[in-house]
Amino acid sequence: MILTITNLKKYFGGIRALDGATINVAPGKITALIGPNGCGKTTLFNTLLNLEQKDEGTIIFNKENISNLPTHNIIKKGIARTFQEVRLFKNLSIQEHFDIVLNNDNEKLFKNIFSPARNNETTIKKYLAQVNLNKPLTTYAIDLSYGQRKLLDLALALALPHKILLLDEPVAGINPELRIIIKDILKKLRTQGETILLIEHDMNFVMDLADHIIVLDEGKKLVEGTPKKIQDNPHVLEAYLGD
Amino acid sequence: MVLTQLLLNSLIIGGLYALVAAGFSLIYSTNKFMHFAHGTSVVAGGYFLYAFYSLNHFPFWLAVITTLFCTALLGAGMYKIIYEPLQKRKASNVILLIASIGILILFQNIIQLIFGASIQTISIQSNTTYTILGAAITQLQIIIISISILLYFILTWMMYHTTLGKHMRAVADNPGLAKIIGIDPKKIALWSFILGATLAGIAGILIGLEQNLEPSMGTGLMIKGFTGAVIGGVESVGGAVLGSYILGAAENFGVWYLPSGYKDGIAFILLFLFLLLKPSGLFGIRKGAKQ
Amino acid sequence: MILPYIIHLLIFISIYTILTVSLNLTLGFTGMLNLGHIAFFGIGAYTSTLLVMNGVPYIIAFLAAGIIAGIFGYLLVYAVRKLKGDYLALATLGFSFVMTTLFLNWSSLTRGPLGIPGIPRPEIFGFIIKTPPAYLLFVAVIAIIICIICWRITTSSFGTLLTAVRDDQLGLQVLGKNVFLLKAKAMILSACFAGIAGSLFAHYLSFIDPGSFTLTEIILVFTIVIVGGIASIKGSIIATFVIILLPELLRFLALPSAILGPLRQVLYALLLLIILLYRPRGLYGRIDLE
Repeated sequence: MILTITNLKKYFGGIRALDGATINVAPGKITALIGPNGCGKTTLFNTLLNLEQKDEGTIIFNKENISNLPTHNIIKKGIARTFQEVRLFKNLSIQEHFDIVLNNDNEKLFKNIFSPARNNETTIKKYLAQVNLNKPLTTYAIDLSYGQRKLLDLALALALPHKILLLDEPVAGINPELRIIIKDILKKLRTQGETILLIEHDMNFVMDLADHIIVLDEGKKLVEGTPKKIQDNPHVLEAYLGD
Repeated sequence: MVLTQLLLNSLIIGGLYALVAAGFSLIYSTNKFMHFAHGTSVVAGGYFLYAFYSLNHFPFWLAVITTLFCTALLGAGMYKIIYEPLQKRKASNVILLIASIGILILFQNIIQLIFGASIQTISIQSNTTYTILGAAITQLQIIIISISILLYFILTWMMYHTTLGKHMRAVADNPGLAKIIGIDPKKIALWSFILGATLAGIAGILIGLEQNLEPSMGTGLMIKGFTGAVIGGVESVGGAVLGSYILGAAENFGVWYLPSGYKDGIAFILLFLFLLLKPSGLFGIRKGAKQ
Repeated sequence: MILPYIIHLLIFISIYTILTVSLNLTLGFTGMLNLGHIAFFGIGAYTSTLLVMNGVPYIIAFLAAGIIAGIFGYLLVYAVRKLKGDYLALATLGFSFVMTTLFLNWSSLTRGPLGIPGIPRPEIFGFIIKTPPAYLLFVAVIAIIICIICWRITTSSFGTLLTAVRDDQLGLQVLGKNVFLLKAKAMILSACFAGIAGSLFAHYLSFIDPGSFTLTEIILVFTIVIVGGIASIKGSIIATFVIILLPELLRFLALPSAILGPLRQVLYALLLLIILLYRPRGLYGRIDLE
């Protein structure tokens, strides 16, 4: 197991967003996190990365306890994440986005006053090709369409040195053609040995793609298993329809 | 007795700050941005009274009414000419804050151009001094404390028992929803500025009578009133009033221990500390520091 | 007759250029609303003054002005690290006021409201920069160096990171960057430069008092940065020239000085409001102030 989350709890006042969630993610596979709205999926991602303070729980990644590290250090340990509402920088171009991710020295002030900006064109084009995004590097992020922004978001996550990809609703709001393209991209990544944990609402997308599905309900794991097993499980339907 | 005098002084200055804070907090809670220029409305109120009463010899009550009318107009003008257009352009709270500081400096200097930089006094008839429990207090000071306490009750009653008050709270809570149920947020915003500026006018009149007038006093008053509001909780008028009294007490008892020059500094330090550690104030609802 | 006056103006413009370009570094490029910038100016002025008047060589005092201001910059950015938006702005303003109170009341150090007169001109390796033209050369060179440094920073990869901090802090954190450290570096550098400007200011005017570092000066510097354009170094430089020179034209109207002072402030305030209403990008900004 590359990622082990144990007993994760997060309360917002009286609401139990996460109520003792325990999840294990196996390397080299695509694991999908599903469940009805509000069952805690995005909160799980956020608390895992310490974007939100958790109330309880342990997180072990790659045999290391990352439970109390600040976000940027967790990311540096090898976790790359995309957001449902695509977080890009509206005043930066595609090239500048990649410069942030590819350039390891850019946080050093003095070094940068004297050295020229690096040119990573070939590397950037490689990542863009991986996600089928063919746009000039000087294009600004805000000038891309929604679908293209989702692809850029994914490409940046790939460019970040990582051992696992956390994808938060990678096809939300995407037209059917692009959905198929993204599904193929993810399948290809799996053959390359990538570990993916994704949150998604589109059941067809998930059933056809995931190796393993974990169902969350009311802040904890309801059931997990192969897509077939989940499809046949009556409790899952109940959870979605409510009682 | 020293203690009673300090207590009384705390009530008096707390009352003045409360008058400033009440109007500011009314405007903030309805519009959700910091109208720093409120201090200028207060000073303008004082100078309007000076212009009508001392310079043009209006009868006192007429001068008061004209002053309040002019101050309300000024407040409405600030909203209509500066804030409403900025909000139409989707200006953030930060831009509105900077604009409000610009308005503050603008009017501060216009007042200076018209009335000069030197200190002006508004003298009225007899102002008898009473002695309560060994401490001295003047008639005017009793009026100041009474009015600020009275306003607290009137404003709280107004917010909960009049249509305007309810509409203001609705807009404060959820402007989008308020619009859907037929409340015009812009009209309510305008009313909040008119009402807030009127309160500033009342504050200006009393401050002008109690202290001397000087064009630059708006900044200082605004900071004190704002600090009082932050201590009590910016979003509630009641909290702002209570916080102002606490500030008054802190200043008066504080200078017992500190050199007297630090009196103003007490407000600044408290402001800084509260903004860092407890931005929602002692009595405020949890707005939080993050937006 | 007119030349000394022009030199005097140019010295002021150079000093203010340092202030506005450094403010743009935090406000424009990193998106941090720092209403405390003038406090660093004051801290630098007082530090340099007190050191030199106690026998410390100017070069050391000059550097100390920058370093001490930089330290306060770090303290401020650390103190307000959890605040955002208008609360952040007000906390920095509060910091400014606390500093003003200290300048006014720590009389044993700063002589309070009386100010410190008789500040000597800088002496570097035995050479005294005494005459205004020499001083102009001195400050102009320093201003140019600082502008070049700021320009280099903002066009480098580090600058890209600062822009990212402004656009989406959270998004940048998730790309593995330490956002607090980035903000701290920007703030410390900005404060440092403001402190240096303070030293140049003090040793030119030969007198400083707490009244030189108030809300009025904050608004002036903010107006220049906003008019010049957020995140535009060129804009800040040009706007500094324009905004400091323009009110000087009023002098030719032969108005009494009691009118001149407030009138100048009225113009600055009107300019700020007009720019915010009609051209929030300023002259050269690519980006809207948010």
